Order: sequence, then structure tokens, then C-alpha cells
Amino acid sequence: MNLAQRIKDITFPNPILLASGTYGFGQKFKEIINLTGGVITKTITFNPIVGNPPPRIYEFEGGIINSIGLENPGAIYFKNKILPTLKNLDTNLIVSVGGTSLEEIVNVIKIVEEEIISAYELNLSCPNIKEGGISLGQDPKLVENICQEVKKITKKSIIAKIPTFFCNPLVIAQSAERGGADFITITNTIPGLVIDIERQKPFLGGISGGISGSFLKYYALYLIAKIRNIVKIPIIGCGGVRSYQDVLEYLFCGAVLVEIGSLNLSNPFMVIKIIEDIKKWGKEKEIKSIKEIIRKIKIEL
Amino acid sequence: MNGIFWEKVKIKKRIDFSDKIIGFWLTTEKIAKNSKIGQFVHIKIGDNYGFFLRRPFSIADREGDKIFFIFRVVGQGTFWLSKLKKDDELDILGPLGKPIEIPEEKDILILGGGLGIAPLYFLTKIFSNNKKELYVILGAKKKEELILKERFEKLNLKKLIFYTEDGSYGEKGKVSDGLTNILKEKEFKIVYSAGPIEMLRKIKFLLKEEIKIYGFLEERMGCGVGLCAACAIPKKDGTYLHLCEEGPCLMLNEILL
Repeated sequence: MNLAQRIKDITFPNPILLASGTYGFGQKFKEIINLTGGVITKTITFNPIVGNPPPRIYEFEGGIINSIGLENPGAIYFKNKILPTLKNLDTNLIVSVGGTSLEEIVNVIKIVEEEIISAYELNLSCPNIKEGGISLGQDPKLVENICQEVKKITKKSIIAKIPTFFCNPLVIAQSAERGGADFITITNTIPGLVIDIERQKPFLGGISGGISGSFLKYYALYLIAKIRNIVKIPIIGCGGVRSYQDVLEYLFCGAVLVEIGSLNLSNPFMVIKIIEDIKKWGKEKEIKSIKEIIRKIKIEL
Repeated sequence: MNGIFWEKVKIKKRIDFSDKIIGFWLTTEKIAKNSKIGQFVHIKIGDNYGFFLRRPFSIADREGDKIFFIFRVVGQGTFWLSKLKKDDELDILGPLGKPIEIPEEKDILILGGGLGIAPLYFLTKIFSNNKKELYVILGAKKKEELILKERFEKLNLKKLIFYTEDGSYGEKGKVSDGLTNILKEKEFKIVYSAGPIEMLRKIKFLLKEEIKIYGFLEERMGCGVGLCAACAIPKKDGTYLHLCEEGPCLMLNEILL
């Protein structure tokens, strides 16, 4: 089965992307990254962020809650020290951009803009930022404005990773499309809290965290099935992928690309097996191209 | 890939130190040969993803294609491990973490408490092969928890002193008591330590600031390979180190304990 697709001037050798925050900035395990459709960096903000105090991670059956706190070295360091080390990447480099205002997001992109970047994923939904409480992406008008302003300063594709909680994700998805986003990613983690009953306080150093893992897939699939009917831009599925079957579920449901996140924390090599398994499955089913299965299933919701 | 290998390995030998402290010798293809002192392996728990994250264990020793690690049964993950026996298979990533360089100093003080003795054995063995004058103080709650006692006794050490809290072996007391005593007769410029956090704090308190103090630390870990930034250790300057990449043996002088 041919896994390659050309979408919005970007060639994806296969539909698997490494989700933001789970594969560093793309400097490590390059041999693995090169076998995927692309790597999405940890979110870059204008100023460096030291991140949350530990503990930053909690495990539950089938998933994790993380509270890293957007730790990153800032846009200038990323541009000068990290980007040059990524020039030899042989797949798509997607830079995740975050910030607490429209201006910050625009400024980060102005700083990091570079030929080797294939696209920007706007982190509109990270629930870890303490400042402001809610995230930028929960305001439909702001999402539209951010996408519009970003499109003005870069020719590269932009991916809106939208929040899917404390807001109407359907409305937010439409706002992103109106603003000119080229893709939307559904979904980010959802907010969560762990209580340490021995110490009688929240377990995570950053108080709350983002829940990810298996269960998230079902929520994401539901949203994709809904959103695919109301927007025309391509959808990237994200949440709870552990196997090639999970990837196929996303593709059948209507996602054109699928991000793998938490699984990388369990095993950074596993993504290779998933890609091989998809090929094997396609061969057995005598499917020539991945395009044949995308949005193949009729879903009435 | 970055010198990190993913292997399915077999348990060659199981050693029960006590009902709660168990050691496994694993036969590996590449991990043992590439392991250096101060490094760890990241072990998958369970047959499925009921346990999502791996568990990190310091390498306590290496012989040829085999590595040794020791754990105490404290939670569900280590309970699962404790049920395994010889010839069972484990899914491991390694070697991980930053290798420890052989220091220039000739006289080295090594302080190990409880399970902290495990990573210090590998270190002491390699240091002793490098003609260092080693002063080693090891302690545990009781005799049966004084792991690797006989192995340490076979090494070429300048001094080896044991402490047990109940007095069932060696001197009665804690490693920190041993530290106070040895400092009366000798000065050191460099110290390696591993053990409970309270012990490391005490050591740092007892030693002068100009002494280089290295210590093996623990923190909730995600990937173990430097991708996720979960295992943060606070530094004095307000930033964080990542234990899986820059540790697990860190210079305690620079961090907040």
C-alpha cells in the first residue's frame, strides 16, 4: 500500500506524525523520525519557560497525566541553536508554536521562520499554562484572528491544534477554517487533576495536567466524525494511538494524518512497527493507496 | 540509534536478597556491552499497556553480555516484576542516562544507603580497576538488606565500613554517622552517594561546600530518553535538569535537594 500523500504542498511519506511534546525538538532518534511523516517539536514560546516543578507525570491504567508546563528554551535559542541541527532531517519538520497572546504567536513564527520548516502547528489548546487560566483557543474570534494574522506572515501551512474542552470544538474548528488554517488537529490532551491522599495535596507540581492515553481516541474519533461534516480543511487525528488498528480507525473516520503522542513515552521505537504494520495490513487487504481508506466509512452523527 | 537499544531480554538469574528486595541478571544483546557506570535501563511493566510507563533501574553490575539490577517491591510495577522468574522475558530500553566519567581525584569517598548500594557497586568496581583509593561506607536497616556485601568485600578497597540501623551487622547506626567519623581522620575532595533522599540531604549538610558531591537521584520519569522533559530536578538557579539525560547521578552541589 502506498502510504504517501501530498496535501497542501506538503508531501507526507506516510500518515504518521510524532505529536508535540513527545519527541523533543527533533534532534534525537533522527533515524526513527526520518521514517515517519514528520515530527512536531515541543511547543516553542517567545521567552524561555523553565517548566513546572516535579512531579510532572502521573500514570494511570492506559494513560498518563502530564504537567510539563511548556518547558522550552524560547524562540531565539530554538532558531539559533536547535534549528541548525535539524537541517539533515529527511521528513517534515513541523514547529509547534505557543503563546499567551496573538502577538506572541506571531512573534515566535517571525523569529523561527526557516526554509526547512514544513508547517507550524499552533498550540491553541495546551491546558498547562497557568497564566490567564483558559487558553487562547477557547475564544472563537481569537482563533480566527490568530490564524488570519499567522497566514499574513508565513507562506507555510498552519495547523490549528484546537482545544476540545470548555468550549464548543465544532465552533472553534469553523473559526480556524475561516481564519485560513490549512489543517486542524483533534485533539490535544484534556485537563485533569490528581490528588495525593497521603500528602493531602494535588499530586502534580504544576497542580493540574493534561490527560492522554487510550480513552482519548474515542473522544477524538467522535469529534472528527462531527467536524468532518462542517469544515473542508483536512483533519489530523491525535489521541490514544497504540497500534496500527488505532491509526486505521482515525483514517477511516476521516483524518488524513494521525499523530502519535503518549506511546512515544512508553517506547520511542514503536512508531516504526506501527508504520510497518499499516503497510502489511494494506498488502493483505490489497489496498493500493492510503487515500482509498480515508473517510471511507459513512457516519451519521 | 543514539546508542540506545530496545531489546527483549531473558532473566538469566534471580537473586532474592530479602522478601522485598530482588535482583535480576539479564542476558542482553547490545545493552550490556554498551553500558557504562551511572547508567540505567528502562523496563516495561506488564504484558500490555495497563502500566503505561516503564520503570527505571540503575545498572548495579555488568559482566560480558549480562547486566544486573536490583529493586525493592514498593508499588504495583515492582510487584509485577517480583513475580518473574528465571527465563522469563523483559522488554527493556538502554543503556540510558549520562555515564559517569572516572574522576581525576585519587581518594574517593563512596556512601551508599539501602537500595542506593546497587548503582554504587558498578561504580566502585570500575573505579577500583582504575587504581583509585576508595573509602566505602554502606548502610541499611538490617543485615539482610545490606545488599552486595560479599561482592564489595572482594573489591580492592582502602576502607569498607558497614552500618546497620539495628546493629545486626557492622557498626550500629547510619551511613551519615560513618561519614561524620571518617571526616575526623581524612579529608576528601570528591564523594559519590546513593540512597534515600534524607540521607543525601544529610550528606550534603555534613560536607563542606567546596567538596564535589555526586548523588544518584530519583524522580517520576516519562520516556527515559530525553524526549518528554517529565523528570525535572530543580537547580539552585531556578531552572531544571532532566534526570534521564543529565543524571541519574548528578552533582548535588548544583541542585535543590
